[in-house]
Amino acid sequence: MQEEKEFIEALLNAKTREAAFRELVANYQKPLYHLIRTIVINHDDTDDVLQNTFIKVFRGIENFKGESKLYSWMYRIACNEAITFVQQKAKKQALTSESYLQKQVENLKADDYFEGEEIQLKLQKAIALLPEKQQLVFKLKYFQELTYEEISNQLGTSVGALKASYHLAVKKIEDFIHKN
Amino acid sequence: MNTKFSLDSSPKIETGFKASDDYFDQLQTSLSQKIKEKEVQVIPLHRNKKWYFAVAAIVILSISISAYFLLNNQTLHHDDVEEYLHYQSSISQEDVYQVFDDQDVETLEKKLELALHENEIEHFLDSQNINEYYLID
Repeated sequence: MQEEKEFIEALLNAKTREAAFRELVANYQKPLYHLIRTIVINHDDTDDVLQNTFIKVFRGIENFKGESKLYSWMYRIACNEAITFVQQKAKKQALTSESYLQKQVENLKADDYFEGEEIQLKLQKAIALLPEKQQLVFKLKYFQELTYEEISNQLGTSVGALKASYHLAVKKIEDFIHKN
Repeated sequence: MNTKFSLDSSPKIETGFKASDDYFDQLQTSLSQKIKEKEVQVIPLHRNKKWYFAVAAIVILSISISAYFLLNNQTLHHDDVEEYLHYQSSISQEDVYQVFDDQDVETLEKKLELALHENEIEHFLDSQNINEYYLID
């Protein structure tokens, strides 16, 4: 905790800010990339969202009150950025978020940044058929391995509702994979 | 027998998403560049200068427009001229006649003809009790 406090001070200090920011990017770029990618699917879109996330973190570090861990705070920013990105993209194309994500999954086979086998593709297709909120809960729980409490903090939804949402999502995905 | 697929009992399925180390190296460079650009962009003086110019331009334009209308609206009303002539004792009717030439008289006649019908002129003369002038003549 003391180390984190010192690191935040380095981010706030004009003399050490740049070096501290480079360290921040080096430490968190991969986990944040994978979080964003599971939500937005496409690599180029992930790159845009990830860069925006880091810029927001850099500019907003003065507002970080230290009530949560730095990574949790960044994780929340990344999550919100990704969700907003999908919603805006879908709106621009006059689609629902679900339809937009289904389109993204359809393009995965030709994506150089996807190395999944048949089962990975099938799982992505099954997830894309879920309602937006269920998709998000499933992705955070199954791929990101967050606890219900952590997801509750990120999304502001009760643990009970999250459990129900996750179990429904799992059942639908299992049905889809079984039938296909 | 075809057993139903179960996420819990199956090995964990990964996302299949990947990104190369080159990508992450480039991301570092790109972000450092963006941060520097953002910092260079935040120069309040430059931004304020723009505002000063904009506000100055609006103020100058407003003053110019107001001055233009003020200077061009100095036309005299007929009532003002009439009042001036009436109360200016140094100018007699004779003086006014003197400045009228033939063309002015013709113009005035035409204007009166256009403005008044004969009936109206007669009615006006009747109402002015000018018979005594005829009698005198």
